[in-house]
Amino acid sequence: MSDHDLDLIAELINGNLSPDERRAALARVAADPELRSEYETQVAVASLLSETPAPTMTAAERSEMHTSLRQQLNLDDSPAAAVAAPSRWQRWWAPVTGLAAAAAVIIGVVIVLPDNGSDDSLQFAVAEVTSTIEASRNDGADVAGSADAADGADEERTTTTAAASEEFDPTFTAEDSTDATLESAGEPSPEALPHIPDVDLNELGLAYAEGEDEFEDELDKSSTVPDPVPRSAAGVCLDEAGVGENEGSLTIVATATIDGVDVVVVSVTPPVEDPYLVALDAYTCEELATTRP
Amino acid sequence: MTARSAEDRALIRRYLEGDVEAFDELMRAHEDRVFGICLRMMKDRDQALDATQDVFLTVFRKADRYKEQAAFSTWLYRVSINTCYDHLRRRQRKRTEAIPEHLDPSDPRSGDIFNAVELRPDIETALAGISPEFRAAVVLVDLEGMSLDGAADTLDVPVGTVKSRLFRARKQLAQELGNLAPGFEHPREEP
Repeated sequence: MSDHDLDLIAELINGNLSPDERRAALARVAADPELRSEYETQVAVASLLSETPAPTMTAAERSEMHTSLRQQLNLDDSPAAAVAAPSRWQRWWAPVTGLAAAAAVIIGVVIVLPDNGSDDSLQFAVAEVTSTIEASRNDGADVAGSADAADGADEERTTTTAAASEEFDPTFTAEDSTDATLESAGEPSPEALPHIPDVDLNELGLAYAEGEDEFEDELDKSSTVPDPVPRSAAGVCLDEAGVGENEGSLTIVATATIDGVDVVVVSVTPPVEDPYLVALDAYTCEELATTRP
Repeated sequence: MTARSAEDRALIRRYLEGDVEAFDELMRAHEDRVFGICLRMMKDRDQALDATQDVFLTVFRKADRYKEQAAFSTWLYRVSINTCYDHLRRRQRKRTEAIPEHLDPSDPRSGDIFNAVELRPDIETALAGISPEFRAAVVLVDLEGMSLDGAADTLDVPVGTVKSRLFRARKQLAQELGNLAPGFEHPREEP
């Protein structure tokens, strides 16, 4: 079967041949038994399929989908909110957003303030951080619920963080911070997730292996391009990608592009071996590159 | 530009301006066809519903990025096919596929579902047996009645590739179905 014959059959069945062209094509098919046999098989399958009724959703399925979409798209709010409605990824990350904000507060204090802490100031700062974490947990509890709640929690977090920043006691020190707050320091919030156009994964991986400061410096070079990667895909990748399974902890550290392909950069911290980075296709979650030793 | 295409563009603009009714109108205009594509690509009804919802989530969230050079439906069906590919890949990764509960013959709902969508299980099974790329070509052209050019735009491949995939897909389907007598006359082929 030549390409020309294949083309002829396709045009006869699905193309827009003129009457003259059609007559000529049919004559050509009729004159060649092998071609005629192929044509008849193709026609039979095409006919069978075209006669298959189109499937439809039931009324209940339709209604359920509309309701779910309206909730997820936040359609009862402003159009801007609808377009920017939190995706599954953002909802997935909601519980850690507050922790990241809390960590930022702690880190800010560590960097800016001198030593000589006092117990009173520590209690104040920890109380502020705790309330932030609680807001985050409440937000997380509503993961399956409305986006309004998430927005509200975001606002609350912002307020809490701002209050803590303004009222910090300068005597608060790193030694006073709790493990819980420090553990959250490495988790980026979805809003702040860096995007690195044309990432050099090896370079980023080297920085990652060198330590947190070097890695942060590398991420600081990232672009401010807002969210070119679907957050839902990014979140799904952690669940779907086989990478890192039983190999330790996974964290999404950035979005990026490699040769024009949107990727999610995930850090993998194995229990024993050195940590490494993996770039997953943001749409398929397939591993495109890695710095795995 | 077709009337439907112009209407879709107007609806997208209205949606972006905050008109929620535009969302309803776009859904009504396209949801059955998107669901049809997803069901025929995925075979499993629940997964098709999930995929359909993901398609519209993607489309409405990215509505501001829709380039009006192409028909909205072309963009929508491209998102549909790509979403189905993603879901199929994820399903494949899980390797051990449990039989969906609703296809269990002991499930009283199973009969209702087949009645509701009027699918022929033998065709669905045969479709599931060919590669997703071949299936997409058959679904768009033979089941959804799309033109070769339209399918090429939707799949973002040359028309020749669509023809080739269609040819191979039908050949495989004929072998799978096994009961297609040679000499079958296609009604559309009558002069």
